[in-house]
This record gives sequence, structure tokens and C-alpha cells, in this order.
Amino acid sequence: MFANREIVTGLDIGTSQITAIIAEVGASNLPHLLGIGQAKSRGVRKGEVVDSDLTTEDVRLALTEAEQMADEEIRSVYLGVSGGHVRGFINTGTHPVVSSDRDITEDDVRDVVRNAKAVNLPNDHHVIHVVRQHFSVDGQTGIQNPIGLLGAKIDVDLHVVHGQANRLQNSIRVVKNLRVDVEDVVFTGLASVLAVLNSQQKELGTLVLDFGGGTLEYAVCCHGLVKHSGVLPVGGDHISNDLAYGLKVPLGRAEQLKINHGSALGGDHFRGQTVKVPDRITLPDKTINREHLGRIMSLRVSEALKLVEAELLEAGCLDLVRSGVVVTGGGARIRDILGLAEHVFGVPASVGGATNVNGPKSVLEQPEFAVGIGLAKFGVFELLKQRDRQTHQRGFRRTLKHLLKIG
Amino acid sequence: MSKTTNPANHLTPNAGGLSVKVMGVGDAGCRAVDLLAGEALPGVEFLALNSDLRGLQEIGNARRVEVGRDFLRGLSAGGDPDLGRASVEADQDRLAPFFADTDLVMLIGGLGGGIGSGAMPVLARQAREVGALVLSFVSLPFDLEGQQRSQRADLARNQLLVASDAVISLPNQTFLEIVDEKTRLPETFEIINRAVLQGVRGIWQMIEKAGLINVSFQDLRSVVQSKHARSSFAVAEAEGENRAREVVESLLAHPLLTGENQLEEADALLVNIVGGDSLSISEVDRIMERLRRHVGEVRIVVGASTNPAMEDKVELTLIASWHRKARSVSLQIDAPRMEEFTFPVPIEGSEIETSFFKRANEITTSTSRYVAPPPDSEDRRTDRFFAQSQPSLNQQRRIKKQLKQGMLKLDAVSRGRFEKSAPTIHNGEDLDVPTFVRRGVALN
Repeated sequence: MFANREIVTGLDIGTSQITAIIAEVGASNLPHLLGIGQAKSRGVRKGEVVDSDLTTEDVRLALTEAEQMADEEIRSVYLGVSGGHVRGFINTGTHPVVSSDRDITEDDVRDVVRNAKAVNLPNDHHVIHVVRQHFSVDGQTGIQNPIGLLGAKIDVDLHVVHGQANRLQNSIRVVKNLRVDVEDVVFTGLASVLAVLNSQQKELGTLVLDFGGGTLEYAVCCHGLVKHSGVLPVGGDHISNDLAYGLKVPLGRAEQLKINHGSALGGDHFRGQTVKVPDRITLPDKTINREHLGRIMSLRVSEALKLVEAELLEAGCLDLVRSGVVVTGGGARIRDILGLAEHVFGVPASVGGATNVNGPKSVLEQPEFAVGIGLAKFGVFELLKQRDRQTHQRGFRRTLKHLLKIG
Repeated sequence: MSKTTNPANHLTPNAGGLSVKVMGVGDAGCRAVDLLAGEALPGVEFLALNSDLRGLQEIGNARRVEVGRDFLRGLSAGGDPDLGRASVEADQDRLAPFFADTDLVMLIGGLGGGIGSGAMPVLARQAREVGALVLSFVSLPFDLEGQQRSQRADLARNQLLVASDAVISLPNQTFLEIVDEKTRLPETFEIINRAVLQGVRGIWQMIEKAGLINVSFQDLRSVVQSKHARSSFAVAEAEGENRAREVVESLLAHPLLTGENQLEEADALLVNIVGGDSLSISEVDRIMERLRRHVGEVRIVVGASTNPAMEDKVELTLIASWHRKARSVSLQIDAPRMEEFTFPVPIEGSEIETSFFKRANEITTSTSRYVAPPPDSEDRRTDRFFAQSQPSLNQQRRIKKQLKQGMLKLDAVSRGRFEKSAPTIHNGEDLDVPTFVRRGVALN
């Protein structure tokens, strides 16, 4: 019935909204979006599931909506994971070339990668991604493919993203509750890189900031590779909470004030301006000082960006960010956030929409959908890889299967 | 910063080439600085900063600086730290020249009141921004001054710890143990002020006076800069034949080196020894030898000089610092950062081994969030434990007297939406608490 199309689904369980995106492999092997579903997220705090029942309900809503739009049935998803426990770091592996002619072979490459993968993590941690960086042969760095070169020693760096297994399991469990399989978990910070960066940006050195409702994921791309990534568990919720506390308004009202009147750049140019908000308890409208609003908000946002800057500095990646900063996620809608990002990182900033994807323009351009689209894109690439492998192996495998059946 | 790294600054003819400013903040600070200004400390400029004109008029020796005239109109801040803070923030432009081209700023004040608690963190930050090394001498209120005041003082001290390079605190309460029953109130304050004086003079002597063993400003800077250390200091004096032994013993018995300030857990020590002309290097060696037995593996900076006026006496000034890597903070971090202690499994080749060790060394010197267990002093701790667990009759009585009703701690800052989630601790700060609250930004 549905078998004529092979679809993949990206599911992003975010702090403020849940997005499901269905895509298929379209023209020239680019993902083609078929369906989009979204639901308000109620059971997630700072990127992690805190109420499993509520979240299951919300995920069901989002998946159904996407299914209806695409007229397909979702059997499995690529699930985005995030949260304060997710961390990225660089691990180095090294391997001496043993063959007498010092010719580097495929075996050597496999060994060096295996050595680099021997990371020492606490028991309860699970490796989500391993991103291979360039090789270096006898100290000569930046080698993309060392096979066939001569050398005595090869090294490789791996960027390892890992998180606490139990906390990762929470969101997987939610999806499993709905009788939907999880093909793979993908760190949302990398998914947004996949969605918003074009190859030129990946080459030149770009920082992607996914400013979500509960978390701020960051990833640095340079020389076509993800050099560093991580999560800061601070997001739009924190801004609303600060405003609610500082301006003494209910959280919902603070949320509205943030969206309608907020700014990431100081309160000085709002000096003397006020905003009236209706208040049901004290009948006359409550007057909010815009200067305070701006100041509370800018302090929070600039603190978050500066923490990212400090983190990149520590990882030695700050000087790789040369081409620009791309802000995505719901936080990209904060007024003046591009100005602030330019100020903090000293490079031009832009809002990131999905690139190299076919689909309705109104969806592609929205920064909120970047992670979902990135996940679907990841799925499409996996699908293509599988197909590739199948065509290579089909002949041999068929024979094998045939033999086994007989035996 | 660039100013202080410029060597030319240290070549001015003024003794040692350093520009040192001592600023008293608030009533208590002004009185202490007035007393200090009476001393002959060449090359040191004394300033007394207050909002209260009447209090300021009593200051005779130091240069008077009035703040907050616009809204306090020459009155005191009335114990409100917010007013104290606002009064210096309003006058920040006017205060900037006082800190310009200064190498060392010593802020003196009493915490718990308005100006002292509110203004000192602002001033410390301002002075550090222009590159000065900031040491704050603060006195903490007596217990009798009430819970509110001491809580306010604690809050201010924490802010000050962040804002200045080192905070040297003198809890007034400990002075009750030094003075006897009959000492009158003004005399008690006089004694406290003298203690501050000794501390300031000790530091000044250490870096300014050439002696048997010199300590340069750079030594001081390397010990305290950006460490945000909680410090305390003690001074002891002895004379006679066994003065080397006696001076160390009386120093170790000093009430300021008890309680949370255990000497063996200190991270850095600054020691200054001043003696009469008879002071010999072997005597200095004996003193340090005795002192070393009581501390762990720490960084010690020693200065020694002679002063004919001391005659047969020897004076030992000690400033001990506990760096702000409080164990409590490291415990709050739910998942330690992986970079800091995951290493590749050493395979073949020596290359990886060296990088492993290099990495390991970096960790011990960096301000790592992974804190190694405190230096071993197991025997001492066991002794102390037994001493505590079997109190003598006298001690039992005292313990009973100290029992008092605790106060319910009300969490002043609500975490709102994040009330029920695990706190987000980053570098020892809870990021769920609004930034403007943590930064102490006033919304008026």
C-alpha cells in the first residue's frame, strides 16, 4: 500500500515544540519534504523529557499531523536528542605503520580509527556520534585520505558526542510507547548543522547556534567537518522566567512580552518607553518598563552567547569561526540577536533556514524547523548509504542467503 | 591590564615604583583608613569614601571622597546595600581617576551595613577593570548585631569574592576571644582597626621594603591574582631567646586561624617576618621550618626584613588563602566534564604517552572544575575528630550554651519554571537563576 515510496521521518522533541518531518529521496538525491507535523511540548524541560505521559501525547499529535499531510504511515523515526548531559570532545588515536615499505593501507586507517574510538567514558555514558576529523601522517596535518601515502605514523582526531544513557533512553522510550521504531538517535546540534549550512559555509568555518526553548546547541564547522559541538542548557524558557521574575508578571505574560517587545541588545534605546499589559487582578493595566525588559533579556542572552564563546575558546575552536555565525531555532526570532552575536563573535551573523532541501518555502525558511529538517536529511543520507551498500553487496549476499536457506 | 604589564610603570622613582591606594569604604572603613593614614607608609595614598558627610568630616588624615550626593544628600545609606551600591554606581565616572594607573588597591570596610556591603563589590570590580590588583579587608559583624546583618554581610562577602582578587576577612566575633571582659567598646574597635592596620602594613612592608628576603609585587600578584581567594591573616609577636619557636606557636593559636580557616588546607601562604637588627637568616629558616610542618604542599611566599625599632622582638605576619574552588561546588556538578579526565588508552609509541602527561599537568595547574581530594592530613584530622568526640566537661558546657534556635532559610531567589528540575550548574553558578540577579544589576 505504502510501499511505493521509501520515506524517512525526523522527530525533534524540543522544549517548546515537537516537530515531525517526513521526507523522501527526491530529485538529484536531495531530500524532498512530504509532511510536517508540530505540537506544543508540555513535558520537556531544558531539552529533556520530564513527563513521559504528556510527551507521549504530544509526540502522537505531531506524528499524526505529519502522517496526514504526507499521506504516509510512519514506522520509524530518526530521533533528535539534546540536554545538558550531552557533551562533545576530541579524542586522538595514533597508529604506527608497520609494513616494510611504509605504504599506508586500508587496514592502517581502520586501526587508527579504532584506536581513536577507544574513549574512556563513565559506565552510564553512551556515545551518540563519532565524527572523524582529518588524518595526519608523520605530523603533516589536514590529509583527507591517507591510503596510498607513505609514512611511519598516522594520527586521527575524532569528535565524540556522548550523553548519559538513561537520559537518552527517556526520549527513546516515549517514541517506543507509540509503537514507532527509532532508527537512530542524532544530536540536535549536528542535525541543525546538516540543515542550515551550505558546503561553502562548512568549508570556511561557521558557528551554528541552535537557540531553542530550553537549550542552546552549538557546533563549529570548518574544512567541511564538524570540529566541535556541545549544549548549554539555557534557552528561551530562561528568558521568560527571568522576565517573569524581574518584571513580576505571570510566566505566560512574560512569554508574550519577550516575543512582542523583547530585544537582545540592552535596554538603553528603550529608555523611558513603557508597555501596558492588561492585568485581571489589579484592574488598571500594569505598566512595564521596556528598559528593564530589554536589560533583563540582553543580560541573559549575552551571557549565554559568552558562555558558548568561552567554551569554544577552551576547545581551541574560536579562531576557526571565520565565515560567520548562523543562528537558528526559535531563538533566532529574538530581535537584535544577530547584532549581539556579531558583537560577541566578531563575524557576520545570519538566521539559518534549511538549505539543499526541496519543499514548501514557508517551511524551509523557518528557523524553528531547522532541527526537524536536519533529522530528516540525516535519515535520507542514511537511506542513500544503505541503497549504495545494497547495490554493491546484493549479488554476493543473495548467493549467501540462498546457500544458507538450503543448508 | 596592558598598563600593569608595561615594565616602564615600575621604574618611577617612587619607592619600588608601585602605586598603592588604600581606600576605606563606609564608616568602619573610613575610621580604619584614618588610623592607617597616620602611619608613615610612603608611596601609599589613603582615601576615605562615604556617603555620610558627618562621618566624613571626622576624617583628618585621609583624602575624603563623598559619593551618592544626588540621592542620599550627604546622609548615610541607612544599612541598605542597594543604596550603597547605587551611590557608587552613580558616581562611577567621578571615581575612575582614583583607580587610574594604580597597581594595588586595598579596600577596607565593614560588611553588614549599607555603604560597605553595597559599594565595595562595585569598587573592587571597577579597580580590577583598570588592571589593579584588588585586596579587600573586610570586617564581619558581631553575632550580637543580629542575623539579618550577618546574612547581609555573607552575601556581600560572596559578591566581593567574585569581584576582587582576594578577600581578607576579620570576623569581629573572633576578637571577643582576644579582648578581655573589661575592654570597652571603643577600645575593641580600636583593636580591630589595629588588626587591619597590621595586615595592610604587613603587605606593604612585604612588597616595598628591601630586606633579607625580598618579595616583589609580582610575587603577590602571582599568589592572589584572579584566584578570588578567601583569606585570613594573623600576626604574632615574640621576643627573647626562643622567639623563633614562640612566635610560630602563638601564631598557630591565633583565633583567626580556626574554624573554616584551617591552616593545613590553605592553598597559598604569604609570610612576612620582621625582626630587630639581630634577626638572622638561620632564625628565619627556623621559623619557616616550623611553619611548614603545619601546612600542606602549598605555595609559600616569604619575605623577611629588619627594623631597628623592633629591638629584640620578631613579628610574624601570615596571610593564608583558600582558593575559590570550594569542594561544595565540584560536588554539585552532575557530570564532570569529560575532556578533563578521559585520555586515550595508551597504545603503542611514546607520542601518546607524552601528550597524556602534558594533559595531566595542565589539569593540575588550570582552574579545573575537577578538584583533586584535599591534601592529606589524615593523622591531624583523626586527632581533631577524637578531640571533638570526647569533649571535656568544660567544653560540654560551652557547646550547650552555643545551641540556639536556627533560622528557617527562605530561598530569596525563586527558580520559577525550573523549580523542579535539576539545577544547571556551570562554573559554580546556577544558570537557572536570572542573570540580572546573579550579576546584581539593579532595576530601579
